[in-house]
Amino acid sequence: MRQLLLLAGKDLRLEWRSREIVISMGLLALLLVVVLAAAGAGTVSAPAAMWVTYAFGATLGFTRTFAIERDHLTALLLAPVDRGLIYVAKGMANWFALTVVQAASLPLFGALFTESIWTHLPALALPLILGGLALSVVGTLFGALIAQTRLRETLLPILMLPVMLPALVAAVGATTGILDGQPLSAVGAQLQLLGAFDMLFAATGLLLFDVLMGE
Amino acid sequence: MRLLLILGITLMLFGLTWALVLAPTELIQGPPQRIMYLHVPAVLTAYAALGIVFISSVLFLWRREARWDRLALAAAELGVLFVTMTLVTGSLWGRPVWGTWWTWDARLTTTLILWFIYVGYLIVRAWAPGERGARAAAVIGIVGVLDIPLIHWSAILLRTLHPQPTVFRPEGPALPASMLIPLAINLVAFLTLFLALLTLRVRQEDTLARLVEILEGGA
Amino acid sequence: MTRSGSAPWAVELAGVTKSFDYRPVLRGIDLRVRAGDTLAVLGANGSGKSTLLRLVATLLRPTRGTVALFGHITQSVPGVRRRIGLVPHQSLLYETLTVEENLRFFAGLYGVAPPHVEAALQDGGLSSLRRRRARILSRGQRQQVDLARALLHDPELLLLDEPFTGLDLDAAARLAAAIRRLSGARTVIFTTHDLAEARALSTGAAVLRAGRLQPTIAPAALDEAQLAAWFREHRS
Repeated sequence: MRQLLLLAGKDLRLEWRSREIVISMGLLALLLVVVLAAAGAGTVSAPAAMWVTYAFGATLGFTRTFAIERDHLTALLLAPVDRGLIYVAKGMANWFALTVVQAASLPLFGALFTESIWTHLPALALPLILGGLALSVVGTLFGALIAQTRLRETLLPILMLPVMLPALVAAVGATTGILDGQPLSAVGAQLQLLGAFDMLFAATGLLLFDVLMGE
Repeated sequence: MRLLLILGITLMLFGLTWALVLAPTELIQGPPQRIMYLHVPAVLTAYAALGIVFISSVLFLWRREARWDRLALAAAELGVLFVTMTLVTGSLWGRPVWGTWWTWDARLTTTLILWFIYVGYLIVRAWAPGERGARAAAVIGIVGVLDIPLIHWSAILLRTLHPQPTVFRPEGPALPASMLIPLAINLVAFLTLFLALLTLRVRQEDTLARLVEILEGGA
Repeated sequence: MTRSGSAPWAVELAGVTKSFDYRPVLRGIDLRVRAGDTLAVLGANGSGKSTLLRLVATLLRPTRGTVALFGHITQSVPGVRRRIGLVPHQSLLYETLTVEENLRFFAGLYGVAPPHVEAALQDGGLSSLRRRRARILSRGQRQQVDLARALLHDPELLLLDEPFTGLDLDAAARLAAAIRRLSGARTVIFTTHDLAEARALSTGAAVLRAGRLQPTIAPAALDEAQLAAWFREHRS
């Protein structure tokens, strides 16, 4: 546990120094919101725009957390640290970056799409968090995969998004319901799906990450 | 393997003829319904292939023996082939019968997503050759199959338009025997051909691997 | 993990072959290193020295054969990693973090208390560098920090990959002195393609040739001409 905080703390400090990931993710997200709002103009709903933005933001940012490691991964693998902890730490760092982007984009969504974002903010937090976790869990695994195989970073969306579909569908569904003013119980099924998705892929990610790192 | 191939082709010719010419025309849907004889075997074979990808991928990651990886690759290639066939025949069937090329119901969505996931598998194998790429692909192979129930669930949350199962139902198939028999024949034909091609492909990869080993003096 | 009392070897490789994508880089490696020895592994560029070191460091798994450290066959158990320190050719320091932050981080990973970091900074003569970002250090300085990092957890086995490459005379001298100080108390293995270093610092030398390891010999017995011939052979 202590090691986990240490690892995650290191990632966050690294990010703070360069702010590379949050800036690029954040700018892309803001850009997407603007484009979707302008080009969509009424046909694109706020929930759809939100999750498209977060999904693509994630695919841009998540390859970076492993790319910056490069040879440093050797040091982590050398240390008497459970490989799974590395996965969790990276996942937490990714999720943190994504959450920052989610939060930063809310005002823009509120302004360009619908004000109901503000009225339903507490309830909205639930799909935002669960969906954000889903993106992080899968994105971290695939990010590691791509970094280990030295594949082009542009492959991350291709690999990640099909797998993410159920989570995105559920997230959009839940977000739509909440913004419409429905109670949380009405979107229970969606939230359950998100929860199940998060748990399944967190467990799978832990197991498979270990295998990916071995030589 | 040759036996399987001959058997498969024979069954296929037999089955297709029966399906397209001899089997009765369905009342409501008319001639297009005959696509079922291709579509259903294709989807079942596709899922069989993906099942093999999943199991071999797990075995490969667990045992680290290259032969499981070769099996997974062959199965994935054929899997993508049959999924494509499923999507195309399904779409062709849907247009005259439902009036639309596509709809977002549970089964179609799942099949479409699986197409993307396993094409991703093949891309990773192609662009990241060697053991690392093999392991990465195995991860994708496993994640893909694990995702299936979730994709299905999410699509159900949307809506369902696909004809309810007429063959695999708890009460027993609802198709008349005159249609069930040619369907079964075609299914066996598809599976036989699949096994033949799978064996052929795996042997190809085995030979290639053996060749590389000898050339590099690793034996 | 406890040491098996009768095992004299700190490092033992038996019949180790390592292939990458079915191409063997190392073949049939047999190697034994006694605790306290300093072994120099020589070989041309690309002869597999780094691979060998990584195998010993348990970062790689042998395709065939076994690697045993301190009497136990390793399967990359965390306990074993605690007894190994590796200074690879590429620096493992995080460039945007300071020297002190780097050392504190690695200390934390190994469960080493902060006072040790202080001691490491003082002993290594690195106090003046502590607030410098790793990125702006010279290669020699970076390596000093890397060495300090590798020694933080007091490992019994120290591995260095081509440590002398790219160092100026001053830094090289300092490194040589450090290695001399460490020898005896710990087992040290370093790779190099420089004969002089091998002769000066090691208690035994082994040459990698065409993926195979020649038997370990006394450093004085190293023949310059023979080595040059072998290196040339590798290039062709």
